[in-house]
Amino acid sequence: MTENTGVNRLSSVIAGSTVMIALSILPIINFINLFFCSGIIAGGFFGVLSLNRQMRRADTLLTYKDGFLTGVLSGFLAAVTVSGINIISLIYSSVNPISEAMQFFGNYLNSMPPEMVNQLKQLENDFNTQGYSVTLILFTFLSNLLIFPLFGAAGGLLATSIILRNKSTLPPDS
Amino acid sequence: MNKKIYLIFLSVSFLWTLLIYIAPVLNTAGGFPATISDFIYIFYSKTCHQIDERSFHLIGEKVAVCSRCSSVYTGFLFSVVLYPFIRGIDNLKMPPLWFLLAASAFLVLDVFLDIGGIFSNTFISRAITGGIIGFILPFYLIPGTMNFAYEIFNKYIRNK
Repeated sequence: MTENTGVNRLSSVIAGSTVMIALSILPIINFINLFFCSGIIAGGFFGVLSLNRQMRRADTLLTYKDGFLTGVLSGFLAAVTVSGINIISLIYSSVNPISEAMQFFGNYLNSMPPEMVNQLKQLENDFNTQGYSVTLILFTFLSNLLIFPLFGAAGGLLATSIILRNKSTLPPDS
Repeated sequence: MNKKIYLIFLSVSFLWTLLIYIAPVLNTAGGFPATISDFIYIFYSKTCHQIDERSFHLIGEKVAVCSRCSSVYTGFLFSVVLYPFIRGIDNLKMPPLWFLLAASAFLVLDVFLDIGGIFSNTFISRAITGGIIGFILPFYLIPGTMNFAYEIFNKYIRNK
């Protein structure tokens, strides 16, 4: 991914995904993702800033395609890594996250529809018997694969739009 | 071309916001819809704390994200719908950067003044600050998405 211009796109993708991973797994700091995935958007944004810095040095121009792809690929790499870390910590942890969630809901659980409570109890049983829930792991992995690249692309496009805000002109509708 | 890209952008925004508000409705329906609702709540738990007392409620059930996030996404959708009327689909010039910075500053202030114990944010302050940033964001993201699509389809011309 290193071009003869000296621009290494892979290093920008890794930089962006490192920011996403750090902001998603570090305790306390990961609360930032509770604000519409700001940590993931920040990762995509940072990846594009890193790419733009390299491109300026190499005297090449950043494009929207570069920005979008840096955000998406950073998100994809971060989604796989974060899911892997989550799965490993779930398997080796003695804590049943569903039991904890049910305790957190407390009295609110009584007002939930019975189907939802049954679903939660089924997931809780999975954790008690196997130490993990395949359904939850698969769903978490798939939702990460959707959320990280989506918000990463938003961060990447936002950064590119800001960097190129005075430089782009598009042809009218064609 | 612009219209197609705009419609894709609108559809994704609409679907994302619809799922937020449809989750409580499916939940009260029971049976299979309630199971789908569970997965919608779990999906959005990746993006939001979903605390009950900080969330809007629909037919007695909280929506899939908190009041701030609901306002961000609803404001975003509202802005995407209005974009052609405010800017025109073919006008892809972005507003000045300070619009985005000011909207972000309001939201960050609302969060950090509350954390610092200086000012307790309220349901209304969270909804307003979230709604503002949600409304502003498409004015930067839609031009970016359209420029990106032009580059992909080789119809892009850049002023150098």
